[in-house]
This record gives sequence, structure tokens and C-alpha cells, in this order.
Amino acid sequence: MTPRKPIIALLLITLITGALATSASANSRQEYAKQVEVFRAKLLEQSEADAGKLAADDIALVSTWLKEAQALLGSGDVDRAGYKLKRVEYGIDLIQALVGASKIKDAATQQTLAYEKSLAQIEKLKAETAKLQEQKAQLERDLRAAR
Amino acid sequence: MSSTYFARVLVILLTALALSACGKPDKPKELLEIEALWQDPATRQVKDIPGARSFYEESRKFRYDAQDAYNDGEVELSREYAIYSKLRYRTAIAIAKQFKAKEQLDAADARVATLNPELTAINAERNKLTGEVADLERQLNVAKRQRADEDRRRAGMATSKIDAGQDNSAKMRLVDDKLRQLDTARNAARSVNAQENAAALYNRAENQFKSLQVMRSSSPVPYDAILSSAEGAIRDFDAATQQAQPGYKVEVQKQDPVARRAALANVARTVFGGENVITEGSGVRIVAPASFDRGASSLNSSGHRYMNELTTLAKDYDEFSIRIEGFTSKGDPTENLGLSQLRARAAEDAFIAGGIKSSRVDSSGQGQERIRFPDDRMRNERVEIVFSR
Repeated sequence: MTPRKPIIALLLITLITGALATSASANSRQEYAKQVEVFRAKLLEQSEADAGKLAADDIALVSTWLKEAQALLGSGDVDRAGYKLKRVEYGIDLIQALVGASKIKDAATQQTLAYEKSLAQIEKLKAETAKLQEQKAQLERDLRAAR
Repeated sequence: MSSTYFARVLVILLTALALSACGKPDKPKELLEIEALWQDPATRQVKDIPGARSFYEESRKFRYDAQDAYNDGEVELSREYAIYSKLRYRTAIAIAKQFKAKEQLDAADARVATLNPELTAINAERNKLTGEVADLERQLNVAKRQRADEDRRRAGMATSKIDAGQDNSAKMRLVDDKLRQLDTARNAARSVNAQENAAALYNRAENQFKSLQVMRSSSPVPYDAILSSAEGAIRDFDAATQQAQPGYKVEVQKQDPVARRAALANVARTVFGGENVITEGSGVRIVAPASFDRGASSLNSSGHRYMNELTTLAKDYDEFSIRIEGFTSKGDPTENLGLSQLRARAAEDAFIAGGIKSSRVDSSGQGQERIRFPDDRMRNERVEIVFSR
């Protein structure tokens, strides 16, 4: 090996490593860009499902993080964008759990109201039945007299 | 003490001050928050809630990562991990709340279920008594009429005796013939329940009928007036009979549950399409597909349209009770159970707003069970209505 060969080999290795790193970064950027779209759709879905606006503050905060992640991706800061997107992912999990809890609680309240409604209905029916029994007895007496 | 001693103390103090100035940076507030949180014994209770444990464990792991990053001097990374830790902890808490709400929902469901048999039994008793009372009223009316007829017959016999041999006997026969015609017309009207199905005409004729009875019993008998009024009353009873017939036909049909169910199913098929109408047992099940947007508990425009049609059906077939079942597409089972109940309730509200009595309507959520359209997620966002009697 001539003295020039190790230098050329070193240069080649450096170039290949650099190219690989650039390619990996480009892949991450594409992957993160896809995530931004998915997370945006999920946030919109949860925002619509959050009828009671119980998760409104968290939705606003996570939306801000999502915008920041998108800006970081645009400026090429892929690593920091990755951290922000992780926040967004966990934030959406939190919002889904909050909205879910609120919906189940609403259903429980509605069912409690249905129970109270049924109780009132039973009382009303009992009163009607008692009245009908009296009416029936009176009619039986009238009928005996008419015959 | 010598000045050398003071100089030494001064050097030590200055050194300590310099070291402290060049030491670690302050802990990020996010890390301080999460450390305070984990010192609270209540925090650890969350891990025992089903479904919350994995989030709790992740939160704990991120808390340690945040502390390690801080110890390594990476403050920004430490802050990031602390934020993840807090998000995961809050998610665990929210899951715990879901679990508690689900327990409340189950308890409420169970309480409602305990009332249903009593409600059904007392409703059946009320209906039975209503029928018995109506029957007794009919019997009493018949008995009263028979008695009145008998009284009139006796009075007529007495009048006949008085008038016997007089010139008016021929007119009296005419009057009696006309009153018999009137009685026949009246019975025909009653046979199609004109009292209810053509109330205005029937009541007018009935008033004339009663007046004629009084006139017939008076002395002297106003023959001409009776003949003229009886003619008018007969016309009114005939008109009432004509008018009452369509309503009576519906009443008769209602007496035949099988025919009524078939009629309801036929009408429903023309509105909802054959694939969405299923005859089952004593009921007709109508599927209202894609009545809700995904995740929503309020009816969408299709849902409102379906509910308008269903309300019209409920009014036309008012002897049927209505059971509403809410459904969702596949997703989180616990969340979907709650959502399906809200959907059933929305459909119930639409019925009641459309004028259907709440006592006829019953609703329940079935969650994501019984997926009816495996290839079309949206159509599963639905309610199904069962008309039964």
C-alpha cells in the first residue's frame, strides 16, 4: 500500500458515513411529516368529540406543540421536532382518555336520570292502577243495579 | 486569633462561593413538579387501577430519565422527560377516572334493570284494568239502553191504550216505524264506533234521538214534529256511519297484531329499504345506518331525516311500544358503550320531541357489539328501533 491509499480510504469512509447520516435524517423528516398529519387529524377528531370542552386547554396546548414541531421540521431541526412530536403523541393519549372519561360519566348521569324517571313512572302507574280499580268496582256495582 | 487565621477562613469562604457559582444549573421547574408529585403517597395508588398501570410505569420511567439527564448536565433533555412523565401520569389519572365512571355506569345500569320487571308488570296490570273498565262501561251502557227501551215500551203501551180507537192511531204507527228506522241507523253508527270516529255528527244525531224519545213519551204526541226530526236524525246517523268507517277499519286492524306488524314492516321497507327492515318475533326492527358522525353522540342530517320518518311510523302505529338500541363501529369498548347509550338517548329525545309519549319509548346502548356492516364502518354508527306489541 502506498502512503496515499490510507488517506483515500479514510476519505471514502467519511463520505459514506456522511451520506448515510444525511439519508437517515431525510427518512426521519419524512416519517415525522407523516406523523404531523396523523396527529392533526386525531386532534381534530378529539376536539369534535369533546362536547363538554373539558379537554379544551390540553387540546390548545398540544395544538401549539404540533405547530412548533412542524416549524422545527421546516427549519431542518429534525431531532427537536422528534421530541415535540413525542409530546404531541402523549398529549393526544391524554386527551383521548379525558374525553372518554367524560363520555362515560355523561352516560352514567343519563342512566341515573333514566332510573329516576322509571321510579316516577312506576309511581304514576300505581296511582293510575288504583284509580282504575276503584272505577272498576264502581262500574260493577252500577251494572248490578242496572240489571 | 491571628490575621493568618482570618485570611485562611476568607480563602475557604471565597473558594466555596466560587465552587457554588460554577456548580450545577438549577433544576427545571418541570422536574421539580414531577418530583413533588411522586413524593405524594396518593400517586402510587393509581397503579392499582386496571388499565392505568402501564401509563403509571411509563411516567415513573420518564421521571428517572429526567433525573439522570439532569445529573448528566442535560437540562433541556431533563425538562423534556419531565414533561413526558407528567403527561403519562395525567393519562393514568384519566384512565382511573374512566374506570370509576364505568363503575358508576354499571351500577346505574343495574339499578335500571331492577326496575324494569316492576315497570313491565304494573304497565301490564294497568292495561288489563283499562280494558276491563272499558268493557264494563260498554256493558253498563247496553244495560241502561235496554232498561230505557223497556220503560219506553211500557209507556208506549200505556199511551196506545189511551189513544186506542182514536183517529191518531195511524199516525202513531207511522211515528213508531220512523223511530224504528232511527234506532236501526243509530245501531249501525254505533257498530262502527261513530261515537269516537265521527263524534260531531254522531253527537248531533244522538241529541235529536234523545229529544225524540221525550217527544214520543209526551202527551199529546207531536206526530208531525217527530216525523220531521226523525228524518234529520236518520240522515245524521247515516252520515256518521260513513265518516266513521275508515277509522273503525284501522281499529279493527289493530285487533290483529300479525296484520298490523306486516303493515308496519311494509311501510318501513318503502322508507328505509328492505335490507334495513327485519321482522323478528313480535316486533319489527328498523336499522337507521350512518345516523351519527364518527365519535359523535348527536344525530347527523341523515339521522334527523330517519327520526322524522320513524316518528311518523310511531304515530301511525301507536299501539306499538318502541325500543331503541344504540351502536358504534369498532374502537375502544368502554368508550363506545358510553357513546352508544348517548346515541340511543338522542334518538329517544327525537321521538319525544316529535310528540311520542315517553312511556312508549325505552332506550339502551349496545356499544360496538353486533357489527352489522363489516365492510362499511360509517354505516355502523347507527341506532336500531324495534317496534313491538
